[in-house]
Amino acid sequence: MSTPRAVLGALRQTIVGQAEVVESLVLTLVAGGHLLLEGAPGVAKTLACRALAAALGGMFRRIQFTPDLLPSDIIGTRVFDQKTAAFSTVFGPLFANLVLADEINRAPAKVQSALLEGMQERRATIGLETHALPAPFLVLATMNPYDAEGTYPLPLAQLDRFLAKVVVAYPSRDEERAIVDRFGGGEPPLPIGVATLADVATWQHEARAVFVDPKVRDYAVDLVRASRVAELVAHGASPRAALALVTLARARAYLEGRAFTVPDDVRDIAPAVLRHRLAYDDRIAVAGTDPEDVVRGIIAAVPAP
Amino acid sequence: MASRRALRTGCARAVSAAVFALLCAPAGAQGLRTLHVVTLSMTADRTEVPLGSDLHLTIHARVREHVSALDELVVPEVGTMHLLGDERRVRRGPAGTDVDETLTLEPIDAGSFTLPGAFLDAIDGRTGKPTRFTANAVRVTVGPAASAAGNGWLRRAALALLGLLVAAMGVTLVLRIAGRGRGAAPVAVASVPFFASASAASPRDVVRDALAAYCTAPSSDTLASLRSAVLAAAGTVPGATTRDAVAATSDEQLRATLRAAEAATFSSEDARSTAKEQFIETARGWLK
Repeated sequence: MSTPRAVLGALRQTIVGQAEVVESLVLTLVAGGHLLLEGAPGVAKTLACRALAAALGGMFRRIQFTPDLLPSDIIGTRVFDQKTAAFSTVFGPLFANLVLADEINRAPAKVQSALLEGMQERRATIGLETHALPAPFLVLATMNPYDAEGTYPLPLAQLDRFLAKVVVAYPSRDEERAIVDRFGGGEPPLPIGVATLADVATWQHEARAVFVDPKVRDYAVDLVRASRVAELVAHGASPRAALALVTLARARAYLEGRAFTVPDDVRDIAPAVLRHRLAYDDRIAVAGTDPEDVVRGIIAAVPAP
Repeated sequence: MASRRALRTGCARAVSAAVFALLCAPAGAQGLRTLHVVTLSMTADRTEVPLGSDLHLTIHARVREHVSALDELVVPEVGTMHLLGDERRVRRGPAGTDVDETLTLEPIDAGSFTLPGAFLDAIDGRTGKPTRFTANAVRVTVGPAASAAGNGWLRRAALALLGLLVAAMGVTLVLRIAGRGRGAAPVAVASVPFFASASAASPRDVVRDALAAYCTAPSSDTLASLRSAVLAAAGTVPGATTRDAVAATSDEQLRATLRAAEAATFSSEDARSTAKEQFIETARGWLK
């Protein structure tokens, strides 16, 4: 059986830098959640997702979200077959193991809602029939923070469905040079078949058995509660955030080969869990404060056990 | 030639430090900065130094905030040691800012000395209260010189002290006349004394006591106290994690002890007894 570290290593061979993105992809996979990636165009968001899909060998589908997209375009529809004189079901691209929802905020709320319902329920309804989505099922959604015109911002309740959000930064100068050297000649080679879907199912099962000490659990809860009373925050994180912290902490411990979680696990993944779950009040714009600093402040304000 | 330059450098540093100490004197009455101090530790590259040699005393501070300087950091007065130079490095990363202040010191007298820990005053971001964060003390033993140069050192020491005194008086006079402003200098020298005693409990002593308490009465409370003592020995403040502590020390055996403490504290019940035994064994190894 392969290990998540093998997948991590394979992704690092393909993606130059972007350590947080690569680790978050593997952690989300092990935790059985969904990941939101925000970054400028051309910073390897899509490449990272394609590399993960190639490494796992599952069914990969990419959906480019546009303003004219319909829910049936992603879920599927019922079509009338004239030969059999009956309706048959055509499954949409959501029926895959790994779904890349590119620029998720470009589609209207109805489409976003259809996707997010699938993410939460892990099933989709076409006509009168409800179908289970394949397992494992992982949605990787991307957002471009710059071209805001003509976009449909995701409401907080829908953002909450994502286990984590990673901000994909520009690479450093050395990394950018390495990108040009390595990929200047064409498409980068993707890691093929590093693990199987059965391996992923085993990892997810084993990660759920990682021990969480009550002190670590309380630390996660305290972080979430601190977000609700933090300065410049209008609405703090939901209890789902505390669950996400513990789930990802387990995945991180599993990735590092530990059978128990430690406070560092929670603290390390806290920014990715909290950043998209907070609503800020108007003073943040007046103060010119970076929301990331608010998140850092919340984490720093809670002493680790 | 070199020793004269060293003497001049030492005097200049001492003067600038004295200036800073005077300028900062009313700082307590002014607004303190809010900081989340993760680590404040002090280490010496050698703890046994012959007269005529120098040592490097490094103060490491990590704060969660992104700051360009940590002017609140007050290093201990180096007293009868020559301050030959200082170097400050500030590194900003995703976890905050690391500040390393390295002092190059040259002992004058033989003996065993305890350098009190550097400190910084700030509003603790965790509690919102004014707090003094203090680093661990460092014990240094100064042995006799390898060559017979003792008289020369004493003369230089006397000259350095005289120079320091005169310069400090001059600066005080100038400041009183000017009566204004605050400045910044690379090193702030505290009014805490440099004393030759073993009265301050060293981090090892604290860990030794906590270990004895745990072995006498094993409980979750005594285990937590022992782990806190080990974390503090690495120079971290309460609320820091094992990774903060591991990053704050270069002592590999202490790092192993920190990791063992973590396993003993957070592993599952069935694995915890083994982890506790390993922790005790590793801590004893570090204490030897």
